Amino acid sequence: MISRYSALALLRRAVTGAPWQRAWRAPDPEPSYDVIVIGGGGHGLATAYYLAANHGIRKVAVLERGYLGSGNVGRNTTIVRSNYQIDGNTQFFEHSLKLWEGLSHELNYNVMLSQRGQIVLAHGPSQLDVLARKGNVMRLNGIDAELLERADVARMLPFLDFSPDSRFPIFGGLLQRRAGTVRHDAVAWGYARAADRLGVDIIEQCEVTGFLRKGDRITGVATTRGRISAGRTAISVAGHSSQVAALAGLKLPVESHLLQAFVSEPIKPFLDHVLSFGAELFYISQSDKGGLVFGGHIDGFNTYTQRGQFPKVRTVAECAVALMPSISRLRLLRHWAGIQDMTPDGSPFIGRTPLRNLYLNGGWCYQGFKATPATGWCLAHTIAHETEHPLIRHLSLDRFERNNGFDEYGTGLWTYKQ
Amino acid sequence: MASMSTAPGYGRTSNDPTTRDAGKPASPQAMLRIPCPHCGERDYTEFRYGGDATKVRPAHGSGDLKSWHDHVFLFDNPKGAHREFWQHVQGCRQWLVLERDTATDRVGRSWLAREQSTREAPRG
Repeated sequence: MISRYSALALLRRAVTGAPWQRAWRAPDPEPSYDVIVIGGGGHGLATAYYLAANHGIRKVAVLERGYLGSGNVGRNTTIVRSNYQIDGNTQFFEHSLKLWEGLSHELNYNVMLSQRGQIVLAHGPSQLDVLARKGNVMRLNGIDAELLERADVARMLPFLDFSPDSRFPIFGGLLQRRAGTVRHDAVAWGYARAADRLGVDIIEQCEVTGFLRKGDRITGVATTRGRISAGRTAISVAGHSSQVAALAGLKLPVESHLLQAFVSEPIKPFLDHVLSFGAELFYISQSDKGGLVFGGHIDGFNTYTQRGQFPKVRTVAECAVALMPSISRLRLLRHWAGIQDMTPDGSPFIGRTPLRNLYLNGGWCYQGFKATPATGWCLAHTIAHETEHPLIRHLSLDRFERNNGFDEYGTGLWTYKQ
Repeated sequence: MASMSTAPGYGRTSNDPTTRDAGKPASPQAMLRIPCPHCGERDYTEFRYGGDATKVRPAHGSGDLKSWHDHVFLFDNPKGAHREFWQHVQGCRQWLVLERDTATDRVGRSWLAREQSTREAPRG
């Protein structure tokens, strides 16, 4: 049994010098489980945790091809928020933000939630109207939202370009004070440790190579560490959703694209909020170490390389400088890329599949990290009750067949335009 | 941020005579280079991406919604060999078909989309 973290435990080890236990076991796979979750990222680990914690299903295995948290849970820009406008999204992401707010206590692991507030900027009067409408939708759903005028933004973010001839004049913005950032690696580690404490087997270096099936029923998986049977199986593998689903004979409305993220050299405290540009897709915050963390659009063609193209580096840097001219001489410290499962409408799929006992969670586009707790919560419910949780009924895999595309940003049904 | 262009790894492009070899496909690097049948090898930023070139559109007037759904919304999304459309919008404006490996971004042959069936590679 892994002991709880507490001030007392810290003090005891400080005095005695006793080593800390490893945070989760490294078990060999058993021949059979009630539920197998494929993918040891944030979503898969959260699903396993809530299966055990909320539904008492503890004979659960999480199968991870590489090591825990090696995918997109450690590659995002760590932003959490719930300022979504379309009915369904609004409530789902608010549920997620509420779970974030209690997560460190729930997991007995500090995920370092920092509710520093997120500001989306408006660069024209019509854009400010759109933000006002979004803010009203949020407030009607009991979510905090404040409309900012130009003077408010100038007071809070004095370093933006407020000059009379600026290319993107600032008319105002929408502030969600409860939004912020989370230490993303800690999310994977915290869920893994908490799930392990409840008896979940987390099996790393175990790649799924096929599905075991009887007719249209999935009965387990073949892996590089042998065959494992399972009552129910969930796929939660982000960028490789198409590959794993293809092992079960499913073809998905998913195309894998590459998204880059960037961090500058560390500077003194400068940017107190999470900030979103209104003229382009660009978002930036400052990490606890002082680096400016930011990102933009996907590269624009499907690829699995996890290696970004240089022109996007330039575009994103141009956004940064257009928004905050004073950072033009900062150097980039690192940049990296993750494989994003893009869907035609920019919304994910959570729920059942055409195959019995097989569940899918994928197609997260840009939104996966902030959704981690709610996805785990709702997918665990869906698996435990064999019916979709009310918060994810709009995210079914067959929604395009029913002409129910769920297009938050109104960009049309194109994977690479979301 | 102008200093980024001097970061290690960005100094050598496929224009560099020491790395360029006309007989070999371009190696994966920080700029995808696309061989245009008219204009030669160019940066991918001159092109517009047009998606999977192997999809077969259902016949016009076909009322079979399932096959239209599958055509519009489902993707093979392979990790490996991919045949795809690009339009050289800042060059000859022709649509072309490009062979690219999505696991490495290594590019292979290309040909004009109007000259060859998109589903068959040209011979020879």
